[in-house]
Amino acid sequence: MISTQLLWIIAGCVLAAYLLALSGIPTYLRREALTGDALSHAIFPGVVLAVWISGSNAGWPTYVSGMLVGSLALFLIQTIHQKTRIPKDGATGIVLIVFFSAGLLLLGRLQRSGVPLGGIQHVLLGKAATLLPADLGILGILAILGSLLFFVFQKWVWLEAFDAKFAQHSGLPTFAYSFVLNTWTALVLTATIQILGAVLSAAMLLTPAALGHFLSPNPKILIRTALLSAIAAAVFAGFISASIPAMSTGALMVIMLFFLSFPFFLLYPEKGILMKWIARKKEARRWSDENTLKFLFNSTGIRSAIQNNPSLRRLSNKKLVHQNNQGEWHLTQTGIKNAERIVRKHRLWETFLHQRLLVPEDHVHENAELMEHLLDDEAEERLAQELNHPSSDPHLSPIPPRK
Amino acid sequence: MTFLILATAGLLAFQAALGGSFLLLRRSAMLTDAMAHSVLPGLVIGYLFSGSRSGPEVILFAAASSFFSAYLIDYLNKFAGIWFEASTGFVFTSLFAIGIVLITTLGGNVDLDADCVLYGELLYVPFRYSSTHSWYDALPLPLWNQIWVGLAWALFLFFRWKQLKTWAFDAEFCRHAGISDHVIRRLVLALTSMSIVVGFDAFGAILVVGFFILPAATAWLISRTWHAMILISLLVGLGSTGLGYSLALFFDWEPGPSIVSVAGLFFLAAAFAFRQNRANSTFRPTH
Amino acid sequence: MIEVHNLTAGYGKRTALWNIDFSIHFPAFIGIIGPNGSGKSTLLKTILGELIPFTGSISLFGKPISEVKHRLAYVPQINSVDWNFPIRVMDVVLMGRFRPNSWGPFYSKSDREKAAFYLNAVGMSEFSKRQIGELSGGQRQRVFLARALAREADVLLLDEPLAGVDAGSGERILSVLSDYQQQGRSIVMVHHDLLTASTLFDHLVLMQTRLVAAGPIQQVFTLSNLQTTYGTDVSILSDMIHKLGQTPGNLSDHPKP
Repeated sequence: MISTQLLWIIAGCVLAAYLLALSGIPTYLRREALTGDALSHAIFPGVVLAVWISGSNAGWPTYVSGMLVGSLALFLIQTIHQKTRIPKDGATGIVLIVFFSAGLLLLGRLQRSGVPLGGIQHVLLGKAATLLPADLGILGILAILGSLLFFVFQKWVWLEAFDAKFAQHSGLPTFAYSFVLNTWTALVLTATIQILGAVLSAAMLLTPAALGHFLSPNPKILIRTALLSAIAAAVFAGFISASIPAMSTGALMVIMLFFLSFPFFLLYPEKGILMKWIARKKEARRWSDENTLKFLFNSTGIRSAIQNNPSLRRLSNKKLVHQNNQGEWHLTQTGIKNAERIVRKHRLWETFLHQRLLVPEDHVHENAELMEHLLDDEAEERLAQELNHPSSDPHLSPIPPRK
Repeated sequence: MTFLILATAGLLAFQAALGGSFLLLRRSAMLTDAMAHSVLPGLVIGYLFSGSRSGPEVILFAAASSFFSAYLIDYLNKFAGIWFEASTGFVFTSLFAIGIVLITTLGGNVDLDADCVLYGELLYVPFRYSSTHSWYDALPLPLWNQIWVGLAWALFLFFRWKQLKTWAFDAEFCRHAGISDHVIRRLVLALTSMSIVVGFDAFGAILVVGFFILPAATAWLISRTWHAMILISLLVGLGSTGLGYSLALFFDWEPGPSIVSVAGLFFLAAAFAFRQNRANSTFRPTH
Repeated sequence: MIEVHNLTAGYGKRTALWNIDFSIHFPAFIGIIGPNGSGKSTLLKTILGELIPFTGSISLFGKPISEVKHRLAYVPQINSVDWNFPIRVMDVVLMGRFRPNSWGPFYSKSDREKAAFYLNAVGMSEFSKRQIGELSGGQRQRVFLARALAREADVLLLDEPLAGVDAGSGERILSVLSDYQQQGRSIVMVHHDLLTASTLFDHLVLMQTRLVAAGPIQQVFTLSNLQTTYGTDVSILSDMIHKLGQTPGNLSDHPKP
């Protein structure tokens, strides 16, 4: 059945995930996701240092050290970016890798010298099973504090992230705000490093917010989605982590979040990658079919040699073309009507370019080849009205009347 | 023996000087980091197929995994409209997590663990020879891998020097000049993936990323010309290796992180020496 | 009033404006006019306190800028914003009602009413729930104008608000600005179109890196001043001036006494 230990672990994961997701929203909005990443890697040496000096895994030295080293990292990123040619992402990458290396160096040293490490191995990749009630207590307090702060300062978050200059004019103390935000983020990362590990906590900072944003520009929905998805991932991760202690909790949480978010990114109607790709293909096919119709309209028939043309097949399925006994393709009655509409749009546009925009008649064709697919019926109607229903185009070809 | 280790490191430094410089100039420094993290799942799957750490399947899968991650980041950004830094973070942390879980679940079948992944096995390079008894045995496998990839880079450079130069500085301009900026970017990414993967084996993730970013950044600060930048990256890479490795031997440190830390110090020294004040900026930029 | 003393400012090694010196009493509708690269935007940025000048000073209402920032409202050029940001039109305008002491995630009823009012003034009420990326250039500009108006500041600063904006939006913006001015507030605007300039502003600052002239439009909008500013052919200008001859901004070769 459900043991107390399992509940503890799940509770710890949920609190950590909630805290990270909430605290990550301002960082995400400020477009500093990678800085968050660097920060989570940078805190690692701070934690190792604290353990080395204090001899134990928990306690305030870890927090202080984590925050100090984290702040140092952020300071360095900012300084490198401001004082040299290195762009922001370069500076972030540099600080990340150097700090993390320093951490590994220290860790290796500790391992060799046989210092009792307790749970420090897990600082890298996270292991919820090592949670103590005290840790849970701290996470709980931070979660409450964080929620309060976020609630009270929510306006500040959006305003500063969207338009820092305007915020400053409106009296928002931007420097203090940045400082507090960065310190808080460092604190939160330090507090959750045991559960999620240095490498992966950044993911919980940012992916929930990214998912929220993807689903809606409405701030309320963004926040709710971020928090809910983080908690969901945490529950699963906690559960599995309790059952299989060897697993890295951080990795589990990130994978859960991935399986939650990725389907949305892929398949969400109209916004998803796959959906957009399908829409583009559909559009390309429409163009192609319309061009085929036009071609048939302007010629006497296509020989069967082009039988395998997918466009013809599609048109045939829609009963817009048919093959006669000699294997030649022709337009059906409906096909003729459709073709006429496109030809009409093409020639109307040519007339417009020539008459109104004074484009020479030998230059109008290419552009009309594109516009014929883009004009909708309303635009076509207005175009015709505007041009006084012309009967022929600049090349003196007849413009089919509207039916 | 030390020679073999240093030779392997040297070749990596060469590749990293090139790939790193290009990517840094194209504002894609974090991409290297992302690609290094993304290697992991491919590495594990490849290992499952081939049974050894340096087999061709491993390299293939790992490089594919890394290369594919760069594309996924791009698609998420361009099609799903997700901000670039968020999609980078999303992709590489997810892939890395998948890799970690694969390692732990496939447990004993895979002779990989987190330590290896991070630190690499630089010190064991001289011991890892192929099992076919042929001329291939003259050098350890990791070194051979480095040589092949190094050669690929050299060929790329030789045939595409001018395009690379243009691309690195101004991708926009490339389109006008008839240089396909997509193709070049793809090639650079593919080669970088290869370098990351073969470097991974010996040096671990940390060193590889550090090598790609740090020497190039240091060189950028110091140099005024394109050629100088690449040359200096190479020198800094080699210097860090020499010094870092010596310190590691002397103080009993892990060689990988040691080398990176030395490279980091070089960078900080250069940053300090060549610091300049950015023109009037009292606000944090909104992007 | 606004007082500018011996202002020299620029970026890095490049000086964009030299020794600018003028003062204008508020309330006023001030246009900053000049060709490209003449330092107009730089002047605006310095007034806003965004750019620290090399030498010289600016004071507004008798005080240095840092003390009166809260009395200013600014409409940025269209380009400087992230259009993918998860924010809707109404949220943007509401930002204009922000005060540092406003706690909590909600704006007060009166704030929301005022925001709605100004959004309506610029004719964008029906877009209030849209994400800003969905709007056209002119529509976006109107939303940002509504935000600045919502601050109900004493001085409104705009940097080429009509650049790249469709005619309909442009007309709306100009009429909103003149309403604003009639409430007794001041506007400082970088503008590029001389034709509208003559009817719109009551004061002008003509820039050509150095100050050409500054003051009431009747005194400043003269042929010789324009020539110095734009360096163009007499005939082109006098042609234009003829067209403008029927407008309230009386033109002549000599300033009126």
